[in-house]
Amino acid sequence: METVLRAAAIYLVLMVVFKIAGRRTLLQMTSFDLILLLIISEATQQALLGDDFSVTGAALTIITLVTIDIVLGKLKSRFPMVEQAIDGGPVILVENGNLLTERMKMTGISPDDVLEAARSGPGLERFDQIKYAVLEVNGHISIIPQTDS
Amino acid sequence: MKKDHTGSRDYPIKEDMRWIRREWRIQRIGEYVLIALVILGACGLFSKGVLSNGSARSPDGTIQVEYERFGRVESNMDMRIRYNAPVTDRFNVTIGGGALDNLQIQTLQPQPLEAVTIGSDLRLTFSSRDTGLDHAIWIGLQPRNPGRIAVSVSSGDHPPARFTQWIYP
Repeated sequence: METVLRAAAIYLVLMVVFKIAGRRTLLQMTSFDLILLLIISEATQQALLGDDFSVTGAALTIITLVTIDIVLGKLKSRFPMVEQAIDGGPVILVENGNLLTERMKMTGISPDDVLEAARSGPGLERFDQIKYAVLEVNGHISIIPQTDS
Repeated sequence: MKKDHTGSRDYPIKEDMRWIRREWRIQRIGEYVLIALVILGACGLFSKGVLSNGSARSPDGTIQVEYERFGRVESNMDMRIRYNAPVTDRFNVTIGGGALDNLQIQTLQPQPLEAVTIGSDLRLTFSSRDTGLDHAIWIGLQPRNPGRIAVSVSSGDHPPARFTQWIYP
């Protein structure tokens, strides 16, 4: 029982902490963030398994984590409210070349981040070339270019 | 056509500003909670720190215990028992109150001459030949179960020093 509870507790803690950290963390992932993630996994490992070196223990932990993920996935597709609460929804950041500053402040995305996405994606230079910029659930910014009239 | 910055849009995606606002609020509060947790952790709310250092004394002052108020399951914590009374050539210390059901003794210094159990209490007898009044015993403990643990440390007929420790899961 303890193994299952440990896995569930760790899953919950990680979910809450990364929810607080926000989607920005995914977007601005640098090499240092990768190292940070490795350290986090190292810190998690001890609490997940304790002093249990058995194959059964490890298998049970893995199965528990994956099962929680599957169940949450099912809940999300069944109840859109759950998905909205856990993952959040996409947010429009730029509309017809206008920056929606209030929303950018809330999501912690700077105008530079949007421009960076505009350059690396469709190769746009200015805000007035952007029809829509949308912060997606996975932390990426989608750019929809202004169609020339 | 032109809407304010905070109204929900339906195109190109359907968004719900109430949730975005809620998410933002959770993040703002959450950041403060995380900072508070780090500071409290550094101060010892989760064992080993200023907030965690406790000391208890028996009513007549014979026994003084320095312990940790907060501990964590399966991580080590220290306890120091000081015994201050005129003795002949040996003295004994009893650790009880059901504490040892939940605490595992990892190290014990100095080694006792004799260790006996009385119910679920542990009575340790130490040599004190050619020494003064003041004696100390160092114990390394490992909590086995989370929750509140009541500990009492006594010696012979002297009244015990009582305290509780909180063990995090």
